[in-house]
Amino acid sequence: MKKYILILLILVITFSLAAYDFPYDSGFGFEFSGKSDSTQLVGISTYHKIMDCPFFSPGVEINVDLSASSKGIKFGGVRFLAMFDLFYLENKLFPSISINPTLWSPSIKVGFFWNDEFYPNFTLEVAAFRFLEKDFVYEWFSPFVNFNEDGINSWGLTFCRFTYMCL
Amino acid sequence: MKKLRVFIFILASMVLFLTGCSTTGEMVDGIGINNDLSISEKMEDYGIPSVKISKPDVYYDGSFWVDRLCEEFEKADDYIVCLMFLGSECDENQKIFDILKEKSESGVDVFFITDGTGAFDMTESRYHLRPVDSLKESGVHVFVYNPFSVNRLSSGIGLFQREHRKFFVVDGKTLFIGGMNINYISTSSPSVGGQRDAMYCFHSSDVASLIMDDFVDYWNHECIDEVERSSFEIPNRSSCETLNAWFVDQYGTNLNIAKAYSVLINSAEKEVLSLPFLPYFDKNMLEMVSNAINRDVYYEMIIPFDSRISQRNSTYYALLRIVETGANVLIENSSDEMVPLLHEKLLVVDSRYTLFGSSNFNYRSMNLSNEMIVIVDDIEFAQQVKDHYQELKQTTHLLDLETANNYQKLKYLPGFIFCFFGG
Repeated sequence: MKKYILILLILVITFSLAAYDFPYDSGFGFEFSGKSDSTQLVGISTYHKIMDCPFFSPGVEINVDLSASSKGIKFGGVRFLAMFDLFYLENKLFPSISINPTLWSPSIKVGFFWNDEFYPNFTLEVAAFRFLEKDFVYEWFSPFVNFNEDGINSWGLTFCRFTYMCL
Repeated sequence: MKKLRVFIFILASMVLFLTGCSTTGEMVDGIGINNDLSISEKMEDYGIPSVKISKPDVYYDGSFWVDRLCEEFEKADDYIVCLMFLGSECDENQKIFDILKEKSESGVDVFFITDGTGAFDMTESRYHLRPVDSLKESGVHVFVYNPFSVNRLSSGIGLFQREHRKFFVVDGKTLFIGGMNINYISTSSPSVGGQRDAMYCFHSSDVASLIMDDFVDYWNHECIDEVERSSFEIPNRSSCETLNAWFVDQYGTNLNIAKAYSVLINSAEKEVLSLPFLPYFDKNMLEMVSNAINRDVYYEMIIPFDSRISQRNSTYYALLRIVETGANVLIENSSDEMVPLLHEKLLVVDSRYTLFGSSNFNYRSMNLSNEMIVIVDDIEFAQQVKDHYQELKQTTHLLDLETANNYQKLKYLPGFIFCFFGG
């Protein structure tokens, strides 16, 4: 019982710490990425933050990938991700990310990936270089892997993803 | 051909979408047209706060305004807030930046906010501008509103929203509101390449309090460098704050500039004098002007002569529809030489109510820009401003219907459409 009270107490303290006040919960964006089993990917995404907390703010993201090949642009897959912002720190390391001050907020994303043949995979993405403004999210060089019980099926890198928060 | 059709369809949809959502509907179907209410009652019903202000000192020469601004900045010992549409350093305004840096380094909280289109300044300033980044090194809180960059293209139509206010607050004691920016053409004298504009300096604890309430809300909404409202003290009202006025601050989704114009113009009984600057009226604005004229109100406006030919043609394209309302449209006399642009925005109603601030009288200012205006209810002040208006009128001529018709050429239509939404 004491253990549960302690966990509850830690959660209450953590969640009551001064979080940044973001005016928007949802947004949409576009991304450019490369994957081991296709030449080039352009993607569109939507993001919804479920809760603002000082740590581990949970959110969900949906990405639709379009891949370019010799046959033209075609559907490359869809990803449903649960994501967790690890923390928020004032970004002093990469001030040129934006003309305005930004927060550095690395994020872990886990979820499901269905490829162009709707074959299901688990997926994991680490967005280490993720920076926030009040109305924008910038992500650079985020590696990801798609895997199932047989091992890794594909891997890739999201070169950049820009998400406009407006709702 | 198919692509062209798709493009035209998208463009037409955007135009319909943007004009369909106009706040100017209030000008023909809102509290403003209720003849049973006084101006005060209409303002109150619209939630536009009444305030007390001191009689403003008006500056029509940017160089004199800069001197006064620096004088007030020098006195600051708590905070300075500078917010403008276009902000850039040049030799003519270097001293402003030097003082701001010095004040910030001495512990005064200095905020410097500009619009994201500053780097695309299309005025004479483009030959002189230097970025304001050096302010950051002195600890000044610098923020660029809605920056124009490739990675923000996903904001789409959000890029239309611009920060057009120009206000400066020094310790909550001294306020500057008007049409001047901190760039080359605003801070130079018209005689040496600056533009003709107006800046109003006054004291008002009421307005300072409202501005700082809005500023903290706005700043925390836009910037991760959050601030507390309690950090900005407002002094008590001083004995010089005797004029009755109303204060309107339009930002974000709080669109209320059109309401204020609606109240004033729909309540006019005798005369409306106006400096709209870029007169891109939508149908509701035209109808309101037409209705005022049908009530036997004398309606007059001065349209600036813009030395930039393409901008001038776009503006003149818009004039036929205004002339057709019956308004007296005065155009500044043309000149082959560079004429300082008349950037001033003004409305004087019945020789009693004076509206000044950042807002042009056009579609963009009503719907797509953050704007700030003050409306002063004082006959003496209105007369002072009218005297200045009469001076401007000396170098104008009345535009007749035939000439206005000649101005409306199809080749100027794209420029007109661009300026209607983006001007």
